[in-house]
Amino acid sequence: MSVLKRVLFCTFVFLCFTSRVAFAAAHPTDPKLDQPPAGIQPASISFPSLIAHHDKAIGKRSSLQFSAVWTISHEGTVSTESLKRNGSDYNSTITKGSLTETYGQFLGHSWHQDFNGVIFTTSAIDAGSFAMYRVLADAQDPKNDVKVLGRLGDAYVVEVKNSSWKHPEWVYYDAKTYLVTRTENIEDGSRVVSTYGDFRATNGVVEPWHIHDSTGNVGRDINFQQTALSFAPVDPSLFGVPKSTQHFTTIDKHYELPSHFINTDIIVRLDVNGRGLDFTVSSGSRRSLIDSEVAREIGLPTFGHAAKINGKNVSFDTIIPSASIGDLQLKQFAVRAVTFHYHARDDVKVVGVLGADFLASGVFNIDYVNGLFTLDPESVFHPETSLSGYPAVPIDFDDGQPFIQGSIGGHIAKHFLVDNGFYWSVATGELTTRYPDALPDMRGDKHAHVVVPFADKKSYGRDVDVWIANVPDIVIGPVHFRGYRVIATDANLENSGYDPDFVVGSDFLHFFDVHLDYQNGRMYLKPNKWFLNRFKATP
Amino acid sequence: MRSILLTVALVSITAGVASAAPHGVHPSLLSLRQVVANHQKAVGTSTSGATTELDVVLVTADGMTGSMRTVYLGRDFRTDLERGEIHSSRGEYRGIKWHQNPNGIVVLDSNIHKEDTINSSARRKLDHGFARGAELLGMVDEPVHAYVLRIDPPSGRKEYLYYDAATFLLVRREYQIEGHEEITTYSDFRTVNNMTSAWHIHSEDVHHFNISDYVVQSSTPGIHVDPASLTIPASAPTHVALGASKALIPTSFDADRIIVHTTISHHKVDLLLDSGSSTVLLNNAVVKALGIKIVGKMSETAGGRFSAGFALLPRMKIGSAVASNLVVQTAPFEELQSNGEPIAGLLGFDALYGSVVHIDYMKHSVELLDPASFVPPVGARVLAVADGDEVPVVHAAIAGVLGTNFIMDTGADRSMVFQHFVLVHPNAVRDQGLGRQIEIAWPASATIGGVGGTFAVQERQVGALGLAGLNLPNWLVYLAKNAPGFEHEDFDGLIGQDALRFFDVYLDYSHLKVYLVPNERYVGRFGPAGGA
Repeated sequence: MSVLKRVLFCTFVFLCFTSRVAFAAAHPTDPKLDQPPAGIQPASISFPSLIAHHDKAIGKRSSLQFSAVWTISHEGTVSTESLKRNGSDYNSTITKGSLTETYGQFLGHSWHQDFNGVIFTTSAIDAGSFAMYRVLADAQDPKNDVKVLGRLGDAYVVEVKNSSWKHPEWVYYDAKTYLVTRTENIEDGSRVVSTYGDFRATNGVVEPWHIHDSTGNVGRDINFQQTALSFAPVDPSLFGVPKSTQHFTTIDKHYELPSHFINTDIIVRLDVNGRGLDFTVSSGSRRSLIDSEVAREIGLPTFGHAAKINGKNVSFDTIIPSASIGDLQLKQFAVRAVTFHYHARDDVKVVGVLGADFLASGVFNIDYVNGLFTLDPESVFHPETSLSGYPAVPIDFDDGQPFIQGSIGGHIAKHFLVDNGFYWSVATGELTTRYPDALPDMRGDKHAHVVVPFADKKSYGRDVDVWIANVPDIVIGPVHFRGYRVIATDANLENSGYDPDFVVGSDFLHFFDVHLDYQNGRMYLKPNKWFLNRFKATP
Repeated sequence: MRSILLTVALVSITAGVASAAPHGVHPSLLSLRQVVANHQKAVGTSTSGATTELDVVLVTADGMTGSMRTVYLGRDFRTDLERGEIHSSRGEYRGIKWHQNPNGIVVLDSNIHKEDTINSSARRKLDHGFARGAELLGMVDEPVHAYVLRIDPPSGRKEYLYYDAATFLLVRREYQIEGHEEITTYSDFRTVNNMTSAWHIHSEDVHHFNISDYVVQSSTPGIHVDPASLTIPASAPTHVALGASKALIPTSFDADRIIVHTTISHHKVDLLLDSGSSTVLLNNAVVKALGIKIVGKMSETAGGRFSAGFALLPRMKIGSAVASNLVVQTAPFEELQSNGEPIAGLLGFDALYGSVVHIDYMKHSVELLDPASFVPPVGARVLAVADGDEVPVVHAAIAGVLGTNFIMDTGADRSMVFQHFVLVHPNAVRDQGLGRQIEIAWPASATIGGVGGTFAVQERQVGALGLAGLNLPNWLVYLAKNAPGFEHEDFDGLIGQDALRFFDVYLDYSHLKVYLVPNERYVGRFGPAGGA
């Protein structure tokens, strides 16, 4: 007799409508931060009256279909966002100097065309495209406690608290218009002040066309200005996934890319303006990267972006106008400049990463045994003949990260991240917590540490256990292993997209000739001689 | 033998939506009337004349094996299910259905869930030759050679019934329960007193979860039955002793989630006070670490699918109150408080039933009161609670439209409106502006967590939330997207912490009442006369 008829509890990430803009910590935590703004004078208005006026003032949106253009200034860069919306469908095209990228969503399916013209589906929407569309309704949310503190200048100030927040926030309602003109909240130890102005009434609702976010550090301020808004019908084809353009290179023949393998790292030499730069190849990297110091040394454009803020290097988007990898020519290759320190060997300084955008340009073959890294046009790749007998492994991309399906102990998991940048394959907490019996500790007994959610143990969710698991039954792509050792952990891998169940690292991949055919969403794993030496294979 | 089909239907808690149509259907040479007439003839008419009967059935279900004993007297019956230490029963007495859960608590079945009764009635009509309401789809060769009928009674659920092509007996039934396809097969037909029925019934879902097997051991008509043995039993004494007329419960409030600090075997175990849970739920790891045996294995669905079991908890201290020999459910429950401390389960109906639960959302306190000496607070607004679901089901209104089946759920962070209400009253859930603002600001579904997983929801600002005669203006609620396992069947939604936090709340389980006293927070937000 089923007793558990209903266990209705539900939790959610608390809504905090006021946009939390990502500012780096600039100040240590200061108890004064929780103090309300100074100089507030008593006011007699009640909260119900204030909110009634406010609701009336902002109106009610009559259509979710519109086109808007925003200019966004941040860290010295001015970008333009052209946004087309119809409900949850959107197309957001962001232009930054000569760089253009587009985010889109149609019927809940999201995609991203990066600065190099490469398109991948994604599991997440682009938060940055909507940073200016914040809902200033924390005070209206009945989950929050509110108090009208009084009047400061031309505004009534309402303090909003929620016991799950570390700090209160303050919302300023203009005393004449009752529109929200300012919010203050605390993030990473700083008070973030957002001001709202240039209010205009369109589509039944009054909205700010100008928004400014500041922590008092001018270099970090963000300024949003809407320059156009219309409510004409939007062409729905704009929301669908366009075709990749991959305009940074043309793959028209077989390329043997100059490279050498250090352990399992693939080091590729790029020639940029006569200077040889070593890049590594990483299938787990969503985009290609370059060390920001090197970017400056070789004069890559910053599009006005500040090089340093508060004396620290900051990341920025840039373009390598021209580069070559052997015969392969790259033109206007967009990369992200980041602080980067990696020595693959004492004498090999790696200054960049070739990521998903690069790997999407053709069919790559990684031959670990012979140390070869080759590239072919997709049009000449015929695996049905060249790789006859080896099944295609479908790839599910999440903004460039390749995920394949696997199983462990008979339990199917969809998110095995293929990342040759990981030396060791790792079973993450996503998998080990669900199927602990499938990943026994190789020390003999089952993994000894048991995490029990007693409230008097300060362990739950905090300890990170790592153990070598002797996995009796694991399927990675087309290969079914019986007795395979992997690193297992109860921690989850921080990732902005899918949460990986398992990372397929180069300790696994190097047993294969790896063929990456991103354009057709597939890969092939052909066992090499190291595989045949190491494993006893059965059909 | 009485048809055990009815009893089995009552044993499984069912609810459902339309099932997928059978494949490979080809035309039938017989008409619907002919198939039903042949079926009626195959089932037969009892010649016993006895008004009493005792059926004994070997049951394997929920990973446990036990004995099910049903005594009939006329239309009245009582079924007792014994599976080791887990005992439960149900019955019908003078038209009133009741059930007693493994903790001995007796509740009268509510009139909320009608689908099982409606569909059972439709099948019984077919047994008696009434074909109206059924549709003959044709014949199939797989999985059995049979005539396939579809029934889809009003307010019931769609079912596909397979009648054996040779014997015309019902051999297979397919239907859906809260998004899961279920299959029941019937075999080992025996004829007793001119009536033929299946002595072996097997049920499982298409993923081979929740396998239930019923094998009739004996069926004895004409036994002596004491009518008193079929009357509705009294609940067993409460498993939670208060020790006084009032017990203050050690709690902390985490953004209106009420975390109850209990002690089990010298360990501090934090549970979420969850009036939306019909049971006490404990994390598997806690139960195992305490050395308590987990019995049974069920596949349950709430926020997602999860495996659950039973355990007998010898003692749990809840402040000065003590729970003894409480049957709890176990599951891989994982939830953290905002300070990172774990929540190891849910404190639901079975622990709360014997008390009046007083929650003061302003003072952040919870006390358990003896219902015998409880006096409702002056000025309280009272809500009647429907019996039968082991959760407080009350009336509430959305934009002036009354829903009679909202669950008052201290475990829900925010109120929800379920599809059952939305489909009938789409205008009542029309957005008042904030929902659109949220969609513009974030064009993706929010995700919330329930037991066993997460599911997507949509934020919607509906008109006033009407509760106990008060109207809370323009309320932000969640609408679940495709989460039938969480919503269950027939419920209108949840009244969550977002609404309850404006009141002093008294959950009087014994008297089926909820008392709400508007608190200072209510006055501050809505004004002294706000919402009245």
